[in-house]
Amino acid sequence: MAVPKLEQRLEAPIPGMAMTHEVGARPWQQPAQYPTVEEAIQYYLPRMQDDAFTDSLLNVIEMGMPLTTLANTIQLAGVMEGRHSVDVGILVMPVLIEMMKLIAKNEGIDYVTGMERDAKTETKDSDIAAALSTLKGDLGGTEEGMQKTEEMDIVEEKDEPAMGLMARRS
Amino acid sequence: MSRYSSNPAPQIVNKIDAYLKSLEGKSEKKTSSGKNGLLRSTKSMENKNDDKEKSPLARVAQYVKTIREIGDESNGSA
Repeated sequence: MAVPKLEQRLEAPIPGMAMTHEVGARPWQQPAQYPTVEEAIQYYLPRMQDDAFTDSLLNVIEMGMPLTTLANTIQLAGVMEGRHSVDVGILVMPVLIEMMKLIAKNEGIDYVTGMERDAKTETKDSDIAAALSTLKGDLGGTEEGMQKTEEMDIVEEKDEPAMGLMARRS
Repeated sequence: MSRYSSNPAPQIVNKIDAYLKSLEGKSEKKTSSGKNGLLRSTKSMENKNDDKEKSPLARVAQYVKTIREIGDESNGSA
């Protein structure tokens, strides 16, 4: 039967596997300590209310670090320590962000969420359209000009002589 | 913010916000009850709502809502 062979192949070691750590030796390769969202939240919330953590958190927030980045870093550390799985970590992030907002608000510190739209760096569709129309104007005002330049590029590519040993002689 | 950021936080936060807004909208709507027509659904809609409420997103949204309410209360009192 084909199925047992396939299973054997799937169980085969990956090349280079012997040079890495044993499978299951890393915390994230073990079953998660807090498998549900509730348990993970109950793990994080008391730690976030700790004075030492709050002080360092407020310093980082004051420096302008986005809350989304902080939340992602915190949950990734949790995954690395084997506290919870990646998907539970992603689900926990909104709660972490909300908690950080609450801590910052209570201390009267302005924060950056990381979800603000930056009007300066954001490229608008109208800008792209304006740039295209300017380019068209430079190339003769019509699309023919653009097509001509494309054709010229193709011709230039064709003109290159074949240099290899296996090159076809015409 | 980059459109192609590797950080999934903004996406999940937006989803939670959208879910909470949809919940607010639902609470304003009147629930229709006591339909007696021949073409009325015989299946209970309560089970469907229960499934939605049990989803991880909904459970997280409940936590977010609670923390927001605490924040609003503390800001209001301050």
